[in-house]
Amino acid sequence: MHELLMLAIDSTVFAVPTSYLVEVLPAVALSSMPHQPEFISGLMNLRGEVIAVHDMRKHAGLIAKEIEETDKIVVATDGKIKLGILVDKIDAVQRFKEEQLFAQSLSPRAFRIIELKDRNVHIKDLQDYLDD
Amino acid sequence: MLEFLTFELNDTRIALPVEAVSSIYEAVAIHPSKIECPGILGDFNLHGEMIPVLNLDRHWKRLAQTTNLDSQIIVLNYSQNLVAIIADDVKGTIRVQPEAVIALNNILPQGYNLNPHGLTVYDNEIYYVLDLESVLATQMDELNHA
Repeated sequence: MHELLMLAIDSTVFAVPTSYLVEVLPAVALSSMPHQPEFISGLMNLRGEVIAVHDMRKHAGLIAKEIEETDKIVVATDGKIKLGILVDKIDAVQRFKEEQLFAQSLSPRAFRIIELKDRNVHIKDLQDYLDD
Repeated sequence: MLEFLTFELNDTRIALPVEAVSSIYEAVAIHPSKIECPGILGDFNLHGEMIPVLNLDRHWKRLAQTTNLDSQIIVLNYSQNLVAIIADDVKGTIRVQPEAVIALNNILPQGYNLNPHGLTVYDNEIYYVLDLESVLATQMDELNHA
């Protein structure tokens, strides 16, 4: 079984494996820093721990927008460091069987998977996720 | 414990080692520099001695800040030279444990890990801990070659 947190940016759907999940928080004002990579929205103080909050719009090549109160920050970890992922909307955690994901991967509107690697966010097609 | 002077510049809270700070002044006129160097905002007359005022925003490739009546000038002692930087608002000093300063390298994605600066949290605020050597060495080098 694959347990995924479904989330959305505009009408584009992504999913984060729950194995990465730490918590989901309402969006807050972020601190900026010099030399900030463009795909990072800013820095967040998570109970004394500084984490970089990644802008999923920039990562996915979607139209940029200012942070809104209704946005959410998904705090995720690869086991080494935590990072935040700024998204518009969180749906629900869903459990999929392998064959369900395979069927979904055949759809032209298949959702994509967000993975963490090298302190960064990577977007993977469902087919590639299943192949791994 | 590490002690930092903290100030704001273009909405970024910055901390720099207090031992590097020579003095702080309210903003005064910055005179055009006789040396043409893009890293220099101008010169500051400190008791008759002209001190170069460095443009931190240029170093960070941001739009250069404009000085106003509320700005302050922080004079730093660097390699036996006095240099100054502009601050929007000097906040004061903070003391943090060395382990409370984390390297930016540890949170930025790989490939962006050439940044020697750090971060710390004090009183729930995030401070960008300036690595003076990496900032001043470049700018002083430009100044000396201008």
